[in-house]
Amino acid sequence: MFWSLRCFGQLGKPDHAMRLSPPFCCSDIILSIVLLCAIGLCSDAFAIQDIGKNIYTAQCASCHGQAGEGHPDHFADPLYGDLSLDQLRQLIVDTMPEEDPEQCVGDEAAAVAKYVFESFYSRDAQKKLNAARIELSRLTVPQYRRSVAELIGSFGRDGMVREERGIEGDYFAARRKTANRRLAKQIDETIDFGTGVPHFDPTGKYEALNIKKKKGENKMNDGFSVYWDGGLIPSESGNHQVVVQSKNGFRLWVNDAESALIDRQVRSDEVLDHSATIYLLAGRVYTLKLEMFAYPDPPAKIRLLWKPPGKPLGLIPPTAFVRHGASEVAVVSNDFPADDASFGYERGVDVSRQWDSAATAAAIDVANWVAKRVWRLARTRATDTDATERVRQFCRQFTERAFVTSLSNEDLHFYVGQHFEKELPIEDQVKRVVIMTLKSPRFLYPALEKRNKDDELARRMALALWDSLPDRRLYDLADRKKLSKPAVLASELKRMVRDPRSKQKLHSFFSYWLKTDKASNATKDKQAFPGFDEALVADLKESLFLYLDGVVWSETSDFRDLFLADYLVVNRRIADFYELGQEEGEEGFYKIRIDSEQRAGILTHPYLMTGFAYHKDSSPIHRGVFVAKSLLGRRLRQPPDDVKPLSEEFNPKMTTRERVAHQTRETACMNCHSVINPLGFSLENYDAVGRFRTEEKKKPIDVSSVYNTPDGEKVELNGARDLAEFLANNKTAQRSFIQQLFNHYAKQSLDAYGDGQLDKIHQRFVENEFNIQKLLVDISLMFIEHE
Amino acid sequence: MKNRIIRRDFLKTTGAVALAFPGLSNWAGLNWLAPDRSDQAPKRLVIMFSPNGMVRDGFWPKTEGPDFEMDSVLKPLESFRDKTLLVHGVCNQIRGDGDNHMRGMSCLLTGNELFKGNIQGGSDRPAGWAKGISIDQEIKQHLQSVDASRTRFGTLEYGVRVPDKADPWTRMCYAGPNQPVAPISNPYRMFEKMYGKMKDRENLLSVLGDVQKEIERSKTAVDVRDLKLLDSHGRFVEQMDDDLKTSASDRMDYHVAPLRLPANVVDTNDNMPELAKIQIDLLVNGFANDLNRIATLQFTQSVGGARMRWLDVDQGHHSLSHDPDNKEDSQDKLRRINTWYCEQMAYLCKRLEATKEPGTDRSMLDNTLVVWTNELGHGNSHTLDNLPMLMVGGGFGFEMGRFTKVERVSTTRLWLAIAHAMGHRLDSFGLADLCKEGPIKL
Repeated sequence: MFWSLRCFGQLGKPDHAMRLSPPFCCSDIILSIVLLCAIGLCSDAFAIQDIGKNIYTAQCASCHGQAGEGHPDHFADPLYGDLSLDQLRQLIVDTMPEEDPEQCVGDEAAAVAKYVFESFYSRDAQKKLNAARIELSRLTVPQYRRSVAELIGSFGRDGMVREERGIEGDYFAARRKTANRRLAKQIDETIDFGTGVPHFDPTGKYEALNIKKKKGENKMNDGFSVYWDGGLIPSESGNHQVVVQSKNGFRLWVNDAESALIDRQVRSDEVLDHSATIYLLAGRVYTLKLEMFAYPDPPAKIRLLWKPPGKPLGLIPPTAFVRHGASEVAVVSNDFPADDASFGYERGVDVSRQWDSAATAAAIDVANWVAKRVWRLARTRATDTDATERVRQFCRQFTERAFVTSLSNEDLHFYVGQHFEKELPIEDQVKRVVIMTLKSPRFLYPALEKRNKDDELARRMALALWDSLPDRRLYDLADRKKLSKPAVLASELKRMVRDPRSKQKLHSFFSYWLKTDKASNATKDKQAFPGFDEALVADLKESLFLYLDGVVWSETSDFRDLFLADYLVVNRRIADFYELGQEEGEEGFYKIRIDSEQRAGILTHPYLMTGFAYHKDSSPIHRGVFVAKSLLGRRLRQPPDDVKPLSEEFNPKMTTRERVAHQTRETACMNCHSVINPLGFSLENYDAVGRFRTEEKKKPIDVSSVYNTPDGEKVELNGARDLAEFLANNKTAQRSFIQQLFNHYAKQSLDAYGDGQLDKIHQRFVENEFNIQKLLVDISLMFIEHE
Repeated sequence: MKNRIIRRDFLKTTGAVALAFPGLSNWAGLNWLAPDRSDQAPKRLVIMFSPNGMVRDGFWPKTEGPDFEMDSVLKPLESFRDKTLLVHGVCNQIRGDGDNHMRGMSCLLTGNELFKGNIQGGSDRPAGWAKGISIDQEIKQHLQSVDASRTRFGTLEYGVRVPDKADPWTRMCYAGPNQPVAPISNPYRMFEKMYGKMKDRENLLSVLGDVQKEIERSKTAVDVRDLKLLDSHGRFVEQMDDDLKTSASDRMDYHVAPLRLPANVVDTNDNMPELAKIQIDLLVNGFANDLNRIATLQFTQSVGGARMRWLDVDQGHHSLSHDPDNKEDSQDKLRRINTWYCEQMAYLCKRLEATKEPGTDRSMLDNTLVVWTNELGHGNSHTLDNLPMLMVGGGFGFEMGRFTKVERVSTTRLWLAIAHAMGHRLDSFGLADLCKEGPIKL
């Protein structure tokens, strides 16, 4: 990928000759304007505007369009960006018109620049032209999946997420649970029994239990069994492969506590690996139960592993176990077409046939799922005399919770009553209610519903922070009209921000903000980087997110720490590869202090540096673009498609920086690369896998550069730490963070919420010492309280 | 068969179904509905299982030949005497790991041993699943491999009060080594498997009109600039509605209507008679729509302990079956229990007799062979010899209407004979050593 200002096109295009014959040349117009001014017909300001407009219309509009919208045959990209007025003027002086840049210089260029800048080029001009508004949107696909899970979940037991992690194991010196043969009841960090370092040794306990031996029997002959019971909380959404490695008899349940995901009670072969796939949503708690019995032939060995999407197979880590499971929920796992992400965040602003079909298939699946469990959900039994009435009540609640409102009598008949009037098996009556509810625009478009204040608050809070429906607590508070009390609202928002559902939403924001997908499939030159493999990449991703979580969920939750912190969260593999210090006895991830001259927060995190790099070389351009666009919110044009980076062979003695500088030296390139390159060069201390280096090709690394801000300020940077300091304290970077966070949370443009909102939130952000948790609350409030 | 393929291609090219519902393309199961006109005499097989061995007195007739006694356990089948073949002397000769109930069950239809495993019964060596495919699944694979006999499911496994656990005592059908097939005991689940997709369509179709109304109504409440979104949404819903209606009237109908299940019959011991009736009705209903050609009907499991209180028998079946032959009270109860099973068999035969083979005037019973068997020959001895083998139906070349005794013939040879009768010319089935003499001649 290679960036330049393509707006000035390339010579030699077939249509070029046509555009070479303008009706006037610049100097003709200038001459006439000057004459007009001389005889006092207009003020200066008017004149300049007018001159600019006339020049633009005559000279530029044929390619760029009357209002800078572009022209499909000539220059398709619209003319807007974030160069300052002076930078724009210089650009015109240097490059326009492309066939003869000398033609438009000096005052003429200034006049055109001013006209272009004020009429459509600048951010403010664009805002005036396209007044942003809050668009009607349907649930995005992740919102749909989460809402269904939450809706069903609201009829069951919520998973209790406390800080303690791990899973409870109940051990018996018998084939089945037998009270007087219990060996231990304890919390296990992972399920990895009998294969490695035993965290529990049953043989010793047998003696202690003094279990009577029958004649001629060894003490294990009554068998050995373990019952693990708890909750599972994934950090990724998608298909998870769950693997049990054991040759003993076992059964595993996940989510569905009634039918086992893997049933291996009967051991009938010597197969070790038993696997099944299940779709799980990040941040939700699922019930997990595993029972194993070793009979008649110990030893007992069992390991529980998983392969979350995009990660390698490994033991389920302690962080994914919580102490209590939750009631089973319906999981919509069928494929949907991807949501529109053209604005940089997913929005539900289009409806396609594929989407409608997928949503229909999902509604039918959920209907069948609900019908199968209707007695449990409705808390009744088929044999109860009031069973039908209870099922009707359940249906009513189902629809009311889906819409987050109370149904009028008329509505009640429309969504529920009419189906119960038909002579149908009760399952079909329920199915029809569910299908109709989930296909209803009142469920699919959360903003359509006219709700009372409390319901509306509950709806928006859940949508903003969880991408979901309210949980039962919120429904209850809304029902009792408590939610609209400011104190309750504030404490609920605080609770919701810290919930795993909100943590997963923030993760998805970070993935987008930091473009973490760039590194997920990174492969690197094996000779240059021996030991850099898939497992390390997965650990690095974990390391990055643990770091982000560490900052966000700390006491201070300080945005600036994202850039400035002088530690990394690593495990042994990462520490070995990057030659960082080892922590004695540490098995998992741990914090390690690092030389603050060498590294600075996320900016130099090896996962990001790996992603923004080539197979063998670093990529200052990718890094520069990332910093410019994602962190500083600058607008850059799409790069020309056909430019490849200069390869090392071009000149084996050149450093990466030298090659980039050489290739982008043209004036046309420099219009963007004067922004990109300095930012990228300041990260040249990190090679293609993010290792710190001080020289390349036997030359010392040069990280010195000067970054030009849109306001025309020049910032001297000397390496990553300088850049980090600059970003952490830069208002533009902070505002860009706020804006992107808002877009991601509200799935709407912040501009649509009125002028000055960004200023207001930023002001609060400053007052709160850049506390991200408080920012999340402020952002949610803006979304929630907007009329 | 030809007709069916043409129809499917037609739907594909017009896009009526396949293109309209990319997410729902698995609904295409409806294409299997048409009874096959070219196969007017399909062969069907039902294997019915009841547990715990057979009471000797009252079941086994004293007289061989056509005039065998049917005055006790077999009385319910009397009207089918001409179509009945009762064979004495068929033995499950599979040995190896596992107790007799286990081998009786999991080796019965597989004719194969059990793997070594971790499931122990009695004092025998523990064992795992069977090492081979069962005869119903074997014949199914054959029927499904031939165009003329292929059906949507090939086989359906019905259960009545089969407990919700998986072990060698509860599984008699195997899709292959180590692949037990679970019977479906809940009639509503079975119905869903058979007709669920059609029901989904019906349910969906029933609400789409209202959904369109809602979308229309929503339009009045939004900014004009948002109308486009709701417009296109409404259009897709309307299109789906149209497509479903078109394809619903376009598709070939079921030959007979799907069974209407009585509401809310709970899966309890005391509901066993009602559950049995529904499952048998469903079984025949499925045949009538040619969803499958083979069915198994498994009552409880080996060692099954149903308490037939509706027969004034309060003890569990299994414990009764352990009582000695001279305990007359128990013998009487066991006769009553097995007579009840025979009544189920008779009800099944009556239903088949009263049902027309799809597209013909012939009785379905003439195209069907119903086999009733057991995991043991006799309860208190746990013998695997002389298993009750009672067949009713068209016979497919067997000489029906008699009771015959054979001298210790392996089950595998009987299954081989049935496979041949069904048109599947296997050389051998199950353990090859037990099948050397080829199919039993009946």
